[in-house]
Amino acid sequence: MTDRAAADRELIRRYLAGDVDAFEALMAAHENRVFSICLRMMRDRDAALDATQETFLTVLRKADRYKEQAAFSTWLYRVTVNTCYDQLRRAKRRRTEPMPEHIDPSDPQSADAISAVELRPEIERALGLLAPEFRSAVVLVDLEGMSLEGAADTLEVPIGTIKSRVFRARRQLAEELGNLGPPPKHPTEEQ
Amino acid sequence: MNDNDIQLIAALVDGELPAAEQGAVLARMESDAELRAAYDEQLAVASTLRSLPEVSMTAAEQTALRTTLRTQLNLDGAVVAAAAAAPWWSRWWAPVTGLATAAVIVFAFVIVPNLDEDSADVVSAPAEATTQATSSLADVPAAESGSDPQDFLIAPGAEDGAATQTTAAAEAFYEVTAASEGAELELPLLEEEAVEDEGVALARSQATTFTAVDLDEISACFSTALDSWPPLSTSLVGVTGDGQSIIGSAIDPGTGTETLFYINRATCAVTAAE
Repeated sequence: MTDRAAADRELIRRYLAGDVDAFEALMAAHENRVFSICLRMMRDRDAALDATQETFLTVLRKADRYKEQAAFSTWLYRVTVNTCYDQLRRAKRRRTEPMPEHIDPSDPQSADAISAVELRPEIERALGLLAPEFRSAVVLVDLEGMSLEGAADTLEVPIGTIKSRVFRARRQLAEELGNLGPPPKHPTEEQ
Repeated sequence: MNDNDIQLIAALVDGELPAAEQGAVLARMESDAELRAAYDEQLAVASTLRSLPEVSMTAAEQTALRTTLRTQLNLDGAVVAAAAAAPWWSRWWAPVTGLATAAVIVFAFVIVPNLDEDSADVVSAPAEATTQATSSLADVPAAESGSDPQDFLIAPGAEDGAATQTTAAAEAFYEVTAASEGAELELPLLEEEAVEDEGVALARSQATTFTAVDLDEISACFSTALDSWPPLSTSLVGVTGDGQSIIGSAIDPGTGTETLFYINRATCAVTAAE
C-alpha cells in the first residue's frame, strides 16, 4: 500500500468517526485530479466544477460504503466518472447547449471557451465525439496517466475491455485529428 | 487486426508488455504493415494527449468548492455516525434542511410530453419546463400535457420474448441509475445507454398496457407515499418492469441533485433508491 493510500484510509476512518477536518484533508489531496477528470469528461469548466462538487458531496454522504479492499482513490475516481456519466446523461436529456465545435480564437467568447476547457480545441472537440465510456478510458489512461490496470479497477471493467476501449478511442481520435506527425520511437527501437 | 493484436498494441503503447513480448511484437511489425500502422497511430495519439498540460482549479474555484463542502460537512458532521441507521432519503435530505428557508417548495408530478426521436428521457423532463403543480396525476389532462400519460410509463407484462427482455433491461437501467449516485454501478455505461434507448422505445411501444384504473392507483399510491416526506420537487417516472414498484424522481432544490426512488405498489411505502 502506498503512503497516500494509507493516509487516505486513515482520513476516511477519522471522518467516519466524526472528524470533519479529515474530509477536508482528503479533498485537498484529491480535488485537482477529480476536477481534471471532470473537465476532460464534461468539456466545460462550469460543468466540471459542478461535477467536482457533486462527486465530493456523494463521497461525503456515502463514505460509510467505502470498502477498504480497494484504494480510496480508486473508489473516489469511480464516483467521479459515474458522476460525470450522470451529468452527461442529464445534459443530454435536458438538451443543454453543446460546447461550440468550431472555436474562433479572435472571438473573446471563443477565447473564454478555450480557456474553459484548457485543451487544444481540436482535441477537445475530438474527445467530445467519443462515447462516454471510450472517453473515460482514454481520459484516465492518456490524460491522467493511470495504468491500464488502474483504469480497469476504477471503471470496474476487465483489463481487456480497457485496452480495447483505449485502442478504439485513440483510433477514433486519430481519424478526427488527422495527421499528428510521426510518432515517437518505441524505447526498444531507439537502442 | 484481431482482438489479440489490439490487446498487444495497447499494452505496448502503455509500456505494460513484458520485455520478451515487446521484442516479438516489434519484430512482427517489420513484416506486418497494418500492425505497424496501428501501433504508430496509437503511439501518436497517446503522445499528443500525454503532452497536454495538466489542469487545475483556480484558487477562487478551490475556495468556493471548499466553502460549499465545509457547509455540508458542518451539516452532515452531526449525523455522520448515525448515517447507516437512517432511512436513505432522510440522510439525503438532512443537509438540505438547514437551507430550507431558501428552498423553493414544490410538489408536483411531471408528465413528459411527446418523447420524440432524439429524446433519451424516459425518466423525467426538466421540472421548470414541464411541471404542472398538481397533487394528482389524474389532474393532469392528457390534452394539456400533449400526450397520454401512459406514454411514459414502462409497461409490465410484455408478451413477446424480446419485449420482455427489454422490459427487464429497462428496469435494470433504473436500478443502475439509482445506484450510480454512489460507486456501485454494476453495468457498463455502454449497456446502460443502450438500455436507456430501449426504455424509450419500450415506453412508446407499450403505451396502452396500463389502464386508467392503474394510473389512478399509481397516482394515489404516489401521493400517499410522499405525504410524510419533506417538501421536495418530485416527479413520477414510471413503473418497474415487473409492475411491482413505482419509480419516482426527487430533485434537491438546494443542489439540483436528482435521486430516483421506488414505491412499493402494494404498500405505497417508499423503498430504497439504492
